Amino acid sequence: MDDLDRIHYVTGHYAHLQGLRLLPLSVPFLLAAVERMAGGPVVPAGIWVLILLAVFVAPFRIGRYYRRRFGQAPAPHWRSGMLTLIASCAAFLWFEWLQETLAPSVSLPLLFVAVMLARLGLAAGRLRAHYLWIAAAVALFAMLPRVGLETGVRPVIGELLIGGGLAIAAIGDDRVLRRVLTTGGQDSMRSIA
Amino acid sequence: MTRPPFEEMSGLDRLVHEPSRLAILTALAACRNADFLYLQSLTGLTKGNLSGHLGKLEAGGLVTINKSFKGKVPNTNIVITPQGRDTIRRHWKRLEQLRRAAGRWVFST
Repeated sequence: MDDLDRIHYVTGHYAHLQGLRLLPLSVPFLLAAVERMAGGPVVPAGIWVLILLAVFVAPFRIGRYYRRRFGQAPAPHWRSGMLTLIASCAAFLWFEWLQETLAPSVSLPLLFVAVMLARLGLAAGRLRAHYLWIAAAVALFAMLPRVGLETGVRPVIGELLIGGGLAIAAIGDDRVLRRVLTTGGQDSMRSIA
Repeated sequence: MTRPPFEEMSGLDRLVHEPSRLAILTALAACRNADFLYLQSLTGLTKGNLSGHLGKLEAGGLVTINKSFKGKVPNTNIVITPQGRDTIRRHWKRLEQLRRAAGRWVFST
């Protein structure tokens, strides 16, 4: 049954598991962190424009690669993730308001993000366990004010966390997809048999 | 002693329970439709074998196969029918019941 669950989950989340589409998005965050650490621009403005352009164009090209490599399996409309995204954004804003009102020493919105990421990591028998690592890192970052870190360091860590998190999510999701769609599916069928 | 659940296993729908067809129907139940390439990537079957399984499922009224062209490239799209969706749901439920029954039987012997 676990294998059937895995097939069901991967097919239902096929578009979300096309992780490499996220990878270009990590580049500007990592570069911004490098520039912040260097204390000035490292990449010329023209290159920045090209990078940002590539960030928007590349996911479409990469999506086409996935379609040609593994085929197509569009998810039902109700499972597009849009509802979850809207609900998560609303909840994030509510936690922002709570943060402003209560002013706790930890970041409540970031803790909420960590919980959502952990939930993703625990789904379908921890198929996307890499999200647990990202969730742990975000939770640690949310606790940073309590540790008493220098204020200038926080933005650098934040950008590294977003860039690194996106890269880990991208590569991790892509590995999950490849494992199931190249060998995992066959392994599953053997164990079903 | 509790009655062994194995004799009930022989009552499983063989059209659905065959591993490749079970994987195909499980995948199709999770999406609007899937193309031939996706199902081939998922199952690792050869084109001929996959066609054979899809043909059996279509003959059983569990899927519909739509063949078209995208430009000059042939495209085969497979959709699970309402009957197929119902059948696979009942099959999963049956498998779960059998798994529980087998667990109870092992512990009671």
